[in-house]
Amino acid sequence: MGTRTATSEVQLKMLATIKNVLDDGTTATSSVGGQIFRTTLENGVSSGQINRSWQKKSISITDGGFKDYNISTCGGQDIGAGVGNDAVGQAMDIEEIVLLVVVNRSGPGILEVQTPAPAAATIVWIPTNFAANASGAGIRTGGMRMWWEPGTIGLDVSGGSSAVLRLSAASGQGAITNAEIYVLGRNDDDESSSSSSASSSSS
Amino acid sequence: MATRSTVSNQFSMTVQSTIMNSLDTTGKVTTASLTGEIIDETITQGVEEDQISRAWEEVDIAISSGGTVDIDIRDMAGRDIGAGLGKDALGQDVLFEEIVGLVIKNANADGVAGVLEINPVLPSPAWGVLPLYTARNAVGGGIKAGGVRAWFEPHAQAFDVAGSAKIRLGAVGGDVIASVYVFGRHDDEASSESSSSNSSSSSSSVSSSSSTP
Repeated sequence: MGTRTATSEVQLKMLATIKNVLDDGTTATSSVGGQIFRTTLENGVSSGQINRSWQKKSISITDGGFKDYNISTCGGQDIGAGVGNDAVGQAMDIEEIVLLVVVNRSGPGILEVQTPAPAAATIVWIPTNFAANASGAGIRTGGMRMWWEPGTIGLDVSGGSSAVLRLSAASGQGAITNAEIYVLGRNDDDESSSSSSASSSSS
Repeated sequence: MATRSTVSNQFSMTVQSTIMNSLDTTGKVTTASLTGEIIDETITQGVEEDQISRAWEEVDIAISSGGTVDIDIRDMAGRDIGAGLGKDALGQDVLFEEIVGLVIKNANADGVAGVLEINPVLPSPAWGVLPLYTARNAVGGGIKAGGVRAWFEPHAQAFDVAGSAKIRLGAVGGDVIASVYVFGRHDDEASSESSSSNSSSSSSSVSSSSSTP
């Protein structure tokens, strides 16, 4: 047996300065945005905590094709430490998502999310056609979508009923050559039932 | 005419995480450090790829429990952040033809009950990019205190805004304080864009202000 833990620091910054140069040369400026959030997540299953982390890079999808990812169990996925395992070779078992990020890093294609939603065990809190090219919402190269829920109640996932994220390459737009998924989460959505340290199975 | 532009623009998303497995038998710890800068984009002035020409924010939008607020993402009609209805922080008309970045935050303090929804019902006319139930409390997808949803699309062809295009924010289970941040372009055709973007008439007493989220 081992004891698995995780910590993280997550930040989102969106900062601009808008400027108006008046006819006489006077400049008016104003800042917009700033540090939207910067949070250090300690190990655990409560507010401001995580104990699981997983990422998948270099996802390629042929034009018109799709790939499904169970972000609770990461079933069928091997990032180099065994099928369904995280980076330290332990089985993934997320019950709550604190952070989910989807990125289209490169390729000519337009990345879609839940378009259409998978028939089985789709993530219920991401609506069908969330990022659909037909509505102009597909993720083009360099684009990103993010869900962030650091509070006590994160975004619930359950391996068998609400966990599958579908990424597709919009038909006729080219292939996706490098999409990425980042997940931070908790292995227990019930604080009271969780011990102070989460035990992993031996591998 | 005056000339409006943006400078020193940045959109960045960083995640640094470490996972550890403490082995019972040896007491040794296996660690793996994951990710880093997911997005680190310096955005210049303009209406092409990796560029913006307009930015707008409204913080502390108060939404009563059970209530909704509609925001027209094209011209912010009816919204007054302190510089006039439909104006940006410089007191100039807001006009977004393309959205490059959109961030929506539930700014309630940690533990405060109100949940923020996005498009619990589609407003009219709705902005097609955000579908019905973009963030819905009934299925666990509402934005709770401190939660954020973000869209970033720096491509030359970003999110189009053709005509009035609204998003609806709603509060359930308690009052919500919401914040909305928008990066965009006032022109979706680079070829039609002059080297400098003209603002609408500006008064001689335009004052600047800084704000922090």
